[in-house]
Amino acid sequence: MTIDRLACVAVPLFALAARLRSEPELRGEAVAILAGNGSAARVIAATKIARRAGVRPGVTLLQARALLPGLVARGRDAACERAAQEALFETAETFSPRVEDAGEGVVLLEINGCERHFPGATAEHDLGHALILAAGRTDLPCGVGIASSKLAARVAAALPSSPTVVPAGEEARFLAPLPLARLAPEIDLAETLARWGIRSVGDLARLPKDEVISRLGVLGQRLHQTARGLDPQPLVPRLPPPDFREGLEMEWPLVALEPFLFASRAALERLTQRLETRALSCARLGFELRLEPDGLHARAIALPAPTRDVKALLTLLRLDLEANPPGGAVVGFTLIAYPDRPRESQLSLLGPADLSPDRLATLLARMFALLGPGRVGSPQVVDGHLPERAALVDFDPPAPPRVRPEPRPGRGLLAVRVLRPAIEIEVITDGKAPAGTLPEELEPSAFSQPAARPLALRAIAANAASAATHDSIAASASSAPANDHGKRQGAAARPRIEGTVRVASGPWNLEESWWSEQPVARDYWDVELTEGGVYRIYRDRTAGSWFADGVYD
Amino acid sequence: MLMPMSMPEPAVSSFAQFRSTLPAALIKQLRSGRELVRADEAVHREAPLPTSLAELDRLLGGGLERGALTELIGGRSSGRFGMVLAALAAATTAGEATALIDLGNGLDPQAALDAGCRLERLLWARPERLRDALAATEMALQSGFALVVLDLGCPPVPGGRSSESSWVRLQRAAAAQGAALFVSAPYRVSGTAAATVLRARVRRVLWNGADGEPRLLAALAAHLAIEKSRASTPLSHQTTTREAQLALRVPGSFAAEILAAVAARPGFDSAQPSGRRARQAFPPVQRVSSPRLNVSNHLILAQPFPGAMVPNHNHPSVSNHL
Repeated sequence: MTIDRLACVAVPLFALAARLRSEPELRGEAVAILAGNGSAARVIAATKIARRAGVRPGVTLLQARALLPGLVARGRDAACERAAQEALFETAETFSPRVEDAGEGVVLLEINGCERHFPGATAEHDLGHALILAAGRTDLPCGVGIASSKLAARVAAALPSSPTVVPAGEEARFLAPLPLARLAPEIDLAETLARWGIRSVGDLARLPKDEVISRLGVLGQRLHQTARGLDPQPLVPRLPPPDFREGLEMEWPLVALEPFLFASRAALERLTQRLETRALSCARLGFELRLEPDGLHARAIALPAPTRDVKALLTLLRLDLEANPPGGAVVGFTLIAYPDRPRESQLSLLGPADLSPDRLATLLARMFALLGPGRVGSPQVVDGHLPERAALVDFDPPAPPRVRPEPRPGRGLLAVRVLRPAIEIEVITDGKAPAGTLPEELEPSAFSQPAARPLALRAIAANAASAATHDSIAASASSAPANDHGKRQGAAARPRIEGTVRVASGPWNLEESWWSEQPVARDYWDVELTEGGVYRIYRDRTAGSWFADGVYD
Repeated sequence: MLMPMSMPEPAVSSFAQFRSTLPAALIKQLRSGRELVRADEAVHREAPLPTSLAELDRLLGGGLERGALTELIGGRSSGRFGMVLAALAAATTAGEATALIDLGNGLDPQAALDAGCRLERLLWARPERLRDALAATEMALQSGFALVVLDLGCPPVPGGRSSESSWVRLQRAAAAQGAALFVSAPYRVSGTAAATVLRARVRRVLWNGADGEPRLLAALAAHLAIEKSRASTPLSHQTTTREAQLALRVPGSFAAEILAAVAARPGFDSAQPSGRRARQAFPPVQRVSSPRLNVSNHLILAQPFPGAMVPNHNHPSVSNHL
């Protein structure tokens, strides 16, 4: 039977280590972590500089400040500690798939077979060194103990000469000198054992098993088993988390965006580093802002492709907060990365090169941040008949062909450049209107003629002053029944359309959505102007207005 | 390949040493895998990216130069957008990933599909300002796209011409990645950064039907001319002509005027029957409509158009009704 070998990774002064990981600028300072409120707050951990000055666990803040006036005091931060614990857990997972989360900066991992990655006589010792180095890369200094039982491994991890390896079968001997309190017996049981004269773990282990069970019951059996270096409960590996979280409690409330983004950047870097250890990327970025005095602002940003690009994620965070301000001072935040597998690609020997998945994900995220939602993607044909219809889907190109295909002759088609939104135009039609007159001078019946042929046209307010032109065009454009799903271009410069019609072809009637509240009924014409340009224009039969919605180009 | 037993066993790390032991006749025919791949990459890296329009490719010496900026300028209805779609169709059909930075937001996905584009290989970005368009173009170039098209739409371009340094920056990004950068603009914008500048002018708009009869848009004849070509490019020694005529037709149109416009094409056989000549001049277009029509709940009232014997596929009411 194979004896399970366990490694315990323990971070000493975990609350302090987690805080320093979140605020790396505090390294080298005299820092103390306090638990409790107000005058009842006590120091639970302090850096080496503070300890040298006499700041010990249990002293109050006032006492600590009296010993060291320049002491930086911080409260316990649950978000920091949770994130640090996750980071430690994920580091352990890079060594073994079976990792148990023991909490408070301690993880246990089964290392059966892992020693084969470290050839030599001191394989387990080398593995312990590798674990210490890996945890150090996540800014968590730790100790490592390797043994065949959880307690032995935990005790070994707390020893100063880390890593400490307890050979298989030597656990009982290793644990024997420890005081009985390390087994954490319950108070009643501890008193009983003390009356029996049992002071150390070794004393308990030497007692006959059956006698202990008959006198102390199930609890005694468990203690006796532990004292003999046997685990009463097997390792319980944790399932991978559905999301990754990093956060921070602020020292004081933040009201400006820039300081918040500064703190968020460090959190995002830690988040992406954790994702990278699992070969995952962020598919959706959520964030929760805790507001003063008691509020929560929670949002999520959908990403066009899974990415680990911190710059793009930070830009998206900024844009979202600018568009949706939280409405209160921020006292703490949590960033949540919902993971997904990044896109994979296979290199081709003879075909066209595929896009690098990482670079593509970064590109999409940055373009998304630059242009806004609904402006980047792969075009898709939309069911319907309105010429301006278009849709965007996520850009996820298929793998290129294995062999580069031979080029084929093109179709040489004339394309229509769609004007989104359509430009409202004035049109002079044949029949009742004399050439050169403006539409407002026409009889209303001229518009009611369905087959009225356009003779001349111009964009409304195209000849006015530029500022007024933009406003009026924007106003008129907004009334056009365009079907663009994105936001309108607003006051952007629009093409000027004006001239006499040289050739007109039409009308082609189009009706759509007649069953809905916004039916579409149009008469389309192709017109060539003597001044140049071939346009696709239409008359909206509902409103009687004319619009140009495309240029043949 | 069978080798005699006396030959040394090839080692991966000493391929050159192994090759030196072979007979001279065999050495010339033997290539390592790395040499084969590099030679193939070199050919495709240096070969221009064809646009699938014979006239345009002939002018450009085979197509759009990789690692360089090619600028196409032209006013309204000069055929610029048709050429852009043709270039995108050729690249996507070849399996390349392409990006269209569409400042005018003028792409009709159905038109791109009709032109032959593989839409799933096309990244469509719709910036609102020239500054954003230039930034998006640079990002796309740095990400490894084989062809990046920047279309500035109809005049006036929002944002003007931008500074020349930004175009030089784009040109360097294209050169660094070996990507073809195709800029379509209503007027010159890229300054000295462009390796090749083409100007397109509308020569004639071709309509079916005579005066007094119902008319139907058939095609657009454009005149292409090279305004600038950098001496170091292959263009200078490969191209014999600096001007060309190009006809872009409305899908389904085979007007007599189009035949006349393209009759001057090299290899065009005027002795063939007109229908065959038309098919030779323009490869047949695959009809796209039935799936959309079948699933649609829309009601189309196509007004009969007297005298219009040829369907105009640009009008959805007609194309879908037919």
